[in-house]
Amino acid sequence: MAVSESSIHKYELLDPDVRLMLQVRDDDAAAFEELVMRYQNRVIGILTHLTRKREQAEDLAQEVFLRVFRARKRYTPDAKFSTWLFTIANNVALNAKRTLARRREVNLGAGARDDDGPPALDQMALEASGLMPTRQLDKAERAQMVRLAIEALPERQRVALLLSKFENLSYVEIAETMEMTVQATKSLLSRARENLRAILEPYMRDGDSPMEAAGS
Amino acid sequence: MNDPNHQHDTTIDEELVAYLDGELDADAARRVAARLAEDAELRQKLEQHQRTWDLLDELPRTDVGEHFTQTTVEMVAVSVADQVDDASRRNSLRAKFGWLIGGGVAVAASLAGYALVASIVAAPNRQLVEDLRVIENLDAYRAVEDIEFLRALEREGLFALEVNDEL
Repeated sequence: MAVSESSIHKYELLDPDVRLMLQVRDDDAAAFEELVMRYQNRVIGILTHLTRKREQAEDLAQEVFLRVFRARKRYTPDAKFSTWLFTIANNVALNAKRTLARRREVNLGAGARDDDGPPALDQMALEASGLMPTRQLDKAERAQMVRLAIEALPERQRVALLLSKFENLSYVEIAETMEMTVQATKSLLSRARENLRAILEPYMRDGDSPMEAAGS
Repeated sequence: MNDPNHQHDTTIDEELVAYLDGELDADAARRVAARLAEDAELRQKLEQHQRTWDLLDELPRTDVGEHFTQTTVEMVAVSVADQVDDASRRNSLRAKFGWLIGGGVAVAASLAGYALVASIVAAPNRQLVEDLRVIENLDAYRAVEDIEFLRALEREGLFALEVNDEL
């Protein structure tokens, strides 16, 4: 897609990270290090929620930054830097998931147990209810409950939700990152928020597990 | 399949979430606000959405520190260096094969050149062979000034006999 000069100029002016990336394009190693420092926690945070494994998330984050560096000469500032970066992160996570799925297919053929899939809602509820002997939740327990709720969301809903909440990306930016229309993004986020509300609201209201709430 | 009520609810849910996210234009935002003012159930849903959204802040923030930065930059540097090595290895192979290809081209060119020169050099000889009959009889031809007489001799088979003798 053709990108206008004015659009490129706009992102260059408004986004300091775009300017850093343009320095990286000119082989400035210090600028690259600065970008890694600025984004490493955010990229690992998102990837941890996507992969559910911190160690794997760190490996994938390194892969993301490697791709950024390798793509530097082709970089054109036609969006916010974070949008471009999280598009790469999303693609890396999807590739890793596909590789894992292929490996799992082979393993399942050999009778292996599926440990890497998303937790079933009932399993999630069981785990979370075990965290709540009383109706009062301390901070760590709330964090664990929220983590489990996010993990229970379908993957695309989870990605969109995380980009919206933690990266403050607009619907347009999320649409670009996830390669979908803005209307589809709006629907996806609505479903994500609705699912999250359905899972978490019973905890917040009564300290009930979602399954108890669903059965009542 | 297309339940109008379900469709209506979906639209309202989408508008409500977009309203919370500040993604509606002014007119749409006013419509949602008006609807909220008269619909207690929708207001409750909005509050629940807001609470669960705020609850996401409970998630611990990732902090990997400088060590990760350092290992990442080193990993990228090593990877790029490997890439450069691969590229120079490819260039070196290309250079070696380049000599071979160059040598091959040179030999082929030499052969072609030889053939060309040989053919050029051979051409006058070929012409001499073709004109041999004329050259051998040049003195006799010069003595005869009438071409019709020569043609008459040819018709009589005089030259053919000579050629057959030579062959």
